[in-house]
Amino acid sequence: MTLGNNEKKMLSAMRTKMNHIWSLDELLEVTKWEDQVHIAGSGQALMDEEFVEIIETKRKIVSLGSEGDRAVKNGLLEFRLWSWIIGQTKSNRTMKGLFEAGFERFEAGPGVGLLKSLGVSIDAGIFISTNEDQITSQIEERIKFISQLSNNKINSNELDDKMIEHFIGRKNLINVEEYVIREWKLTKKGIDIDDSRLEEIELIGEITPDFLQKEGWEQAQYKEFDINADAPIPMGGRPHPMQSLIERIRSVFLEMGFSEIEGDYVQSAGWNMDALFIPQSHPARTMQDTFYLDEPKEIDIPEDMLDLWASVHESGHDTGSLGWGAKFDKEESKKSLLRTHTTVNTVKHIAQNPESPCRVFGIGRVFRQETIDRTHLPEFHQIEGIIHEPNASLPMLISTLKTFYSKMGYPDVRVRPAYFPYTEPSVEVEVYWRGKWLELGGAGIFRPEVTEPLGSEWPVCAWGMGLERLAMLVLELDDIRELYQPDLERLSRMPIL
Amino acid sequence: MPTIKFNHSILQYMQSKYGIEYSSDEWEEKMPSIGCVVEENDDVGIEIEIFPDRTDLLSHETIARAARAFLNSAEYSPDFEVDEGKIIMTVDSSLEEIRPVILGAVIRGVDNGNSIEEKNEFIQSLMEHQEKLHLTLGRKRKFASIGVHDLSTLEPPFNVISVEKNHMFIPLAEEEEMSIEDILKLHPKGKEYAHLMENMKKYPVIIDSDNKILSFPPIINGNHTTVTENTTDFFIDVTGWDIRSCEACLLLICLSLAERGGNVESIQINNWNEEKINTPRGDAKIHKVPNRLIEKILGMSLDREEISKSIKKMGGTLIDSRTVTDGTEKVERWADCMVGEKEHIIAMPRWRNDIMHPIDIVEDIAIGYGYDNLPDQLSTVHLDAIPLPSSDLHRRISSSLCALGLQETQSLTLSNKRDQFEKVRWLEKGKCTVISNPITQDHTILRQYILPSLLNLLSANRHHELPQKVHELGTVVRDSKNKNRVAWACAEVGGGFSASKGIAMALLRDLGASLEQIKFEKVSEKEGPWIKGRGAKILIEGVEVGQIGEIDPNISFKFGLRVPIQAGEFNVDALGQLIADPVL
Repeated sequence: MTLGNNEKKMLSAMRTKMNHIWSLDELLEVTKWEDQVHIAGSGQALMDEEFVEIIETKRKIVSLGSEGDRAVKNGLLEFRLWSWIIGQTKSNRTMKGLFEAGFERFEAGPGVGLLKSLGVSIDAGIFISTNEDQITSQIEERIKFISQLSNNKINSNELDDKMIEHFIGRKNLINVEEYVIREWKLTKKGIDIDDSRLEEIELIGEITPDFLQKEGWEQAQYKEFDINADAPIPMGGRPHPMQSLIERIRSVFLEMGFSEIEGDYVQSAGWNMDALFIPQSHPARTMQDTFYLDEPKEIDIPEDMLDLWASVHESGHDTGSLGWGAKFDKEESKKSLLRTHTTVNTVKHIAQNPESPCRVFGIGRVFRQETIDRTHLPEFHQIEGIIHEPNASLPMLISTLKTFYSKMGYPDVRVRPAYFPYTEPSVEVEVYWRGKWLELGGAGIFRPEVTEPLGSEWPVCAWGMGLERLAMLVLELDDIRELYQPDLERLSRMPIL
Repeated sequence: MPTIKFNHSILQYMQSKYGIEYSSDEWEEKMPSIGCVVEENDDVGIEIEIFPDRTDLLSHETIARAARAFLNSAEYSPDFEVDEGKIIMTVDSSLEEIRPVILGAVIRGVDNGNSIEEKNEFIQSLMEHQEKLHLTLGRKRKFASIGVHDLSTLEPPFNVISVEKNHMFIPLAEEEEMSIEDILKLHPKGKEYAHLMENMKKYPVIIDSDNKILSFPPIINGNHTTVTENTTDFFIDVTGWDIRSCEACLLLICLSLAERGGNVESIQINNWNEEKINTPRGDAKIHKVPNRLIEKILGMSLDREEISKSIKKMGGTLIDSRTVTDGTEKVERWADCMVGEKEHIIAMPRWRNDIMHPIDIVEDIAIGYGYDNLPDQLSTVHLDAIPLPSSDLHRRISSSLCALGLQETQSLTLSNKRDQFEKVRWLEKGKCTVISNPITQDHTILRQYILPSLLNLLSANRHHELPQKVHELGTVVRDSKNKNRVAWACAEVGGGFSASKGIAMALLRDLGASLEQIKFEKVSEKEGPWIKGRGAKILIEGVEVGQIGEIDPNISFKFGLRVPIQAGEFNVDALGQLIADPVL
C-alpha cells in the first residue's frame, strides 16, 4: 500500500528522533497539525502497516463528587465534629452535647464512625482520644487532599494512593475516571523505511472544472476518501407512500382486466346503505358511525327506486327473501352522508349497467365518524373490485382473490367464511406475510336483495380492503397520522413503495 | 367484530355430556371453517369471533352443539322438541301501544352442574347469554328483551298489564320497593334503558296470580324471581317490538337450557284480540332451494348425498330433492324454480333467523362442503381494462412536481371554513359540504381548496429546517361533486413570486401547454392569500386555471408560520380540458 500524505508527514516527523516515544502534544507540535484526529487516524494507519507502535497507558483522573464540593464549602464532616470536640471541656464531650450543638442524626452516625477510625473512642457517652495532635494532623491532610481537587481534575499518579482509596470508600466525595493515554514509537520497519517513500505528492480532493482544464491533469493522483464517513442525504420530491401503494394496486387490477371507476364522496343513505340491503336499524347507520350532512340535507332518489327498496326491505319484494320486516322510512334514504364504503360506487355502476358484464374496480377515500388517534382516522382509503357476469360464482371469486393477492406479492392466500351485510356467501381473505397470516380483505357475492332490484340477473363477485393498515405494516408505522399529518423529515425517510 | 370468551371447563362439561372429547386446539384449527375464528386460546378458555348473523352461537351450550355437528358429525333434527304446557299468560290490550310482542316458555329439570362452582359458572353464562342476545338480536333491548325467572317462585297464570309510573315493586337485587318512575331515574338499568320508555303514559309489567311483579320489561325483573344455584325450573319471558327477534331470543334461551337436559314446555298466550298462541314454536322451518342456485353460486353441481352431508354439518336436514311440477314458467329470480327443474327441500332449525332467502342456505351448503374444496375458476368474458381518463394527467402532474423537488403529501379532505375561506381570503365556490355531526371544530366541512391543508402541514413542521417544499394532488368537493386540484407550497429563503411563477411555468410546460397560451392577471386586492402585487391568476385561453404567488406574511402568521412561502394551486380538471395530452 502507498502511504497517504498525512501518514508520510507523521512518519517523517517521527524519524527526526528515531527512538523517541512521542506524546500527542509533541506530535501536534512537530506536524503543525491542529486537530488531533489527524494523529489518531494517521497513527492507526501507520500501525496497521507496522511502521509505528502505539503504547497505551491507563490513567485515572480524580475529581470531586457532589459531597466533595460540599465538604470543601462547609468543611469535612470529621473536621467539623473534631473541632467541636476539642472546643469542649473533656466532660462535656458527649453525644448529647453533639446534638445540642446542632449536628443532625444523619451526620452524627457516619461522623462518629469516622472519628472512631481516627482513634476516638466513646466511653459512657463521652468521646475520648489519646493523641489529639495526630488526629488533627490526619484530618488536615484529608482537607488538603480535597482542597487541591476543588475545581480541579488531577491525575491519580500525582496524588496519594491511600487518600484516593480512603475517599473512594466515602459516598460521592470523589470521582475517579479511567482513560487511556496513547504514545507513538517507531518500529524497526519505521526506522528502516527508505526516505524516498516518504515524499509527499499533491493529492486531489474535490475535482473542479478549472483543474480539469489545466495541463497535467492526466497524471494527477486522487486522495482516497473514507468511504465509511457520513454523507449528507439529499432531499427531493418523491411520491407519497399511499399514492405509490395505490398505483401498485391499480396496475394489478388493470393487468387482470378490470376497468377503473370513481364516484363522489357525497352520497345518499339510500345508495350507500338501502341499496345494499343494510337494514335501517343497523348500528353502523347511526350518527356515531356515519357522517351525515347539513348541506346538502337531502339527495333526490327516484320515487320508483325508493318504492322498490321499501318493498325489498319490508318483505323481500319479489326476490323470494323475507326482507327485514320492519317499516322502511323513505326519508331516511334521502338523507345525505359521506360515503362509508366504495361499494356505493360499484352498486351504482351495476344499477347503470345491469345487463352488461363487467370487471371494474375503484380506489378512493371513505369516511367514518371516528375520533383521530394512533389507529383511527375519520377518512381512509378503500379498494374494491367486482366481477358481474353470467358465470360469476364463489369459486370464481376465490380464484380471482388468489390471483389478485399473488400479483400484489402475496402468493399464499387462504379464505374462510365471513359475514358482511350485503354479501352471501361471504369470504374473509388472509395472506401469509412475514411469517404470519394477515387478514387482508373481505369478499362475497352480493345478495339477490341487492342485485335483483337493480335489474341484474347475474351474481356479482365483490371484494375490498382498507389500504392504511397494509401501509402501516409495510412502512412499520405505529401511528396512522404519520401518513396524513406527517413529520416531513420522517416522511422523507420512508421508502418509496 | 364481537369476540366471546368461553371457559374450557364449561365447554368440556357440555361436550362430555354428549360423549365427546373437547379439544381447544381442534376448535382453533377447524372452527374458522365455519366462520368462527379463535382469536385467543389460553389456559382458561378460548376467545371466538362470532359473526353478527350467527346469533345462535352466543352461548356455551349452543356453540358446543354447533361444534358437535360441524366437527364430530353429530346428527340433530332441525325440529326442536316442545311439550304442550298448561300455563297461561294473558295480555292486556293496553300492551298493543307500549310493547306489542309478548312471548314466554317454561323449562323444567335443567342440569345446572354438579358442584357449586359449576352451578355458579352456569348462572353466570346464562346471564351473559341473555346480555349478548340483548345486544345483538335485541338491538340493545329495543327489538327484544328477555326475562329469566325461577319458576318455583311464581304462581301462574300470568298477566301482562300496564301500570302508572307511581306503581311500586322491589326490583332485582334491591331490598326496598321502588316506583317505576324512580327505577327509570335512579336505578342503573333503569337509567341505561329509560330512553326506550320515553313518552309512555303507562308501563308494561308481568304479574303472577298473587299480583306480584315478576318483570318490568325491558328494564328489570322483580327481586323474588331471582335465579339461584337451586333453580332447575325456569320461566322465560321475551317481549319487544320485533316479532322475529323475540322468537329467536326465546328459542335460543330454550335451546341452551334444553342442551342441559331441560324439558321445554310451551305456554299459552291469550292476546287482547282473542288470539291464542302457544310459544315457543319448535318445528323446523322448511326452505325450498333451487338446484340451479346451488350450481350457480358454487360453480359446480353437488349430488344429493353431498348436499345432504353439507347441510347436516350446519344443523339442517335435506328432506327431499324433487323435480318441480308446480313452479314458475320461467326463471326471473334466483329463488324461482321452474317446472321441470330440480329443487331441494331443506329443514333448518327455527332459531336460524339469519336465513332470509335460499341464498343463505346455499352459503351454509358451501360452508358445510368447505370453501377449500371448491374448484378453480376464472372469468373468461372478454373485456378491455380501461383506466380512468384522468389517470395519465394525474401521473404526469405528480412526476412534474416531484421532479421539481416538491415532496408529495396527502392530507385529509375534512376541513373547516376558517382554514378554507377566512384565513386564505378565498370564496366558497358552489355549495360547500357541511357535516351535521362533526367530531371536532377542525373537521366541519369538506375542503374546496388544497393550499390551506399544505399551510397547516408546514405549520406542523415549523421546527424543521428550511427549505420545505411540498405538493398535493387531491380531491375537493364543490356542489357535492368531487373535483381534482393540485397545490404546492414552498417555505424557502430566496423564493418569492418568481419562484412560484417558475414552478407554474415548468408544470404547464411539462403538461405540454404552449407558453404563449398562458396569460397572467393580477388578483384583485384582498383576494387570496397573496401579498398585494405578488399574486397572479393564470389563464389559458381566457379561462382561469389557477393562482400563484407569494403568501402574505399576515396570512402565514394565521397558520402559525413565520417563514417566507411561495405557493400555487391549480384546477386539475380545467388543465385536462385546456391542455391537449401530447400523446393524443
